[in-house]
Amino acid sequence: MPRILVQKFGGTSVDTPEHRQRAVQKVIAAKQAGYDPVVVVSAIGRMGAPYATDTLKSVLREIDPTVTPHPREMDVMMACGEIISTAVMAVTLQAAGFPSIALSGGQAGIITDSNYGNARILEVHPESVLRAIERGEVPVVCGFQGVTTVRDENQHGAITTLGRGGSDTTASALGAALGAEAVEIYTDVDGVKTADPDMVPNARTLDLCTYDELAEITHLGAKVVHPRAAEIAMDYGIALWVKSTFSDRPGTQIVAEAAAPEEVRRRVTGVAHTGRIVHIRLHIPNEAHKQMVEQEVYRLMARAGVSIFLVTFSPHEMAFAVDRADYHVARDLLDGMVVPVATDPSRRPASHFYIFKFAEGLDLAYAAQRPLLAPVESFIDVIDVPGEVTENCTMVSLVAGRHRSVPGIMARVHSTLRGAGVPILQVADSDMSVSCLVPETEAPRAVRALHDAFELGREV
Amino acid sequence: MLASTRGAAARHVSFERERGVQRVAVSPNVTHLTVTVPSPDTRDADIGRVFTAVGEAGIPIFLIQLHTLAVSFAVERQDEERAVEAVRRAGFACAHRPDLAILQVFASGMRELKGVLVEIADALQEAGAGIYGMGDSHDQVQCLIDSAAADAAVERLKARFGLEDEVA
Repeated sequence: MPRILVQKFGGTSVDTPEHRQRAVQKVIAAKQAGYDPVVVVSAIGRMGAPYATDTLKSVLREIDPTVTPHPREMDVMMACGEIISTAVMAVTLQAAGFPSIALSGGQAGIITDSNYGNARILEVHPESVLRAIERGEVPVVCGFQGVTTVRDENQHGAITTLGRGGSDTTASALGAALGAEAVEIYTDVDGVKTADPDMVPNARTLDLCTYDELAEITHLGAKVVHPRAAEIAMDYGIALWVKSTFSDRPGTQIVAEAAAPEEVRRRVTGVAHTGRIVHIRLHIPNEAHKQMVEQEVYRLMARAGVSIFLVTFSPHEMAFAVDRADYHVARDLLDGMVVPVATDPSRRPASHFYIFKFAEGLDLAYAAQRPLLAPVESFIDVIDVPGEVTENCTMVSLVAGRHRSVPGIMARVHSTLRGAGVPILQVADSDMSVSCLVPETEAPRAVRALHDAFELGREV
Repeated sequence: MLASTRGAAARHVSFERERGVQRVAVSPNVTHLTVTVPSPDTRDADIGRVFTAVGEAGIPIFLIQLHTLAVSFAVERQDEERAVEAVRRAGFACAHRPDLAILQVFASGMRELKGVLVEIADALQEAGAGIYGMGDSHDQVQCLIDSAAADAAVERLKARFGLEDEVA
């Protein structure tokens, strides 16, 4: 039986000849250790690089800015980045004296649904990969892409892309299909860190991390391995590693919770931060109508594709956060929006109109709408819903798997941030984390303070 | 399993999990506390004192929310009396709402799913379940709701997310 090792190299690991040589050294080391490596690569470079995914997308978008390219054609275009990268990597390996073969996602047997731009892997048929291994070649497979099933008559064999974290997902899925001993995700940091090393110079690399910790860290802003890849590795019991292309450090092993020692399961894993958030507070004076008004806000945001989070429930207030990229859409939708509420729908369709109003200068629609409601005020209560906006926020989160069984975590978080002079605008917690919304300018200080307070830089 | 000539085997299986909501669960016996702080001038310090008081009493708290002049959080039912006592001893007025439950809605890739919240909120409203707190992680949304409405809420959620055959 071959001992298969899947090695995935991200964009910054294959963007220059020097970096590709470092990646090739990792492949050679795997071969020397007795493995049959299967290489998965991302597109070369990050945004702005000539073959990076974003650059390729802009080529289609710039043809005619008034025409939105069809997702099918967009996927064909985006898949080119990995195809180029795969050919370059395969030839680099050949030049180093290692027979290799470049395979597209479809050629490697990655079968997806037809959800262009965010396709889901349905099946993997990796016979061509195995045949390459048997011929003594190193298969170099395009990450991030697949093809629709040949059984789908409408989308026969169409190229698809897997969306965010697609190359990691390809690596995990191939690892599962091939029964690989491990999947190694190579990036430009040497593993999962206790904090962003740009903010916290003494951030430590975790030796061991559970799938859930990894997924939560990623959910809260760290860019390590996509949770989809971790899910597949977890579901199929594949050992997953995060390593650096540019160092020989061992990296971080990702394991199932059952396989993690007790001290790992009980610890605070790290501090994550996710930036560029806007916090919106809406004052709804009548508690009896609050839930109905809230529903309309949720519905409106969902229809516009705006994700809301950090939702707070108070008797007279609803508050939530949105990504800054969505803020203008959210505000434009809410400004001047009228929500009719009926206390007795059998008698009349509406007894109250709630109209949303932001501060002066942000209330253009309100200013236009409000006078139009004057004629109905004799028989319908028109009630202003004042909105307050706090722009430029960041969410700083402590990832701690079992914090709900540990008293005093929130007290420590709160006192640490207050002690560091960081205002806390809101808090939220889940079974995996405690998060604080803070001003964006304070994020580095908040991350450092929490990292120090919970002694995350200390070797364990 | 497909065998290859050198003994390697390829597994033909479904790979990625179905996206969307996959499971709904309820954990009962939760109490919600709302602690009022007296003044905006001392709000932050007072909220810190509340957290310290319950922490020193050895009581884990969750689904924490800050309000204009209050802080609210949930505790396990068994900790309710001690939590109320700790808060009052620290000098704060405290209202508590017992007989609540945590409703957990599990999904794969929660952050990338649009509109889950509106579906949950609609289902809970249909079930007559008020929401007192909410939190989300990478694989679930948690809502603090009335225990009495929990069964109806689960039923509505399962219907909305096509999970009628699922056993809670």
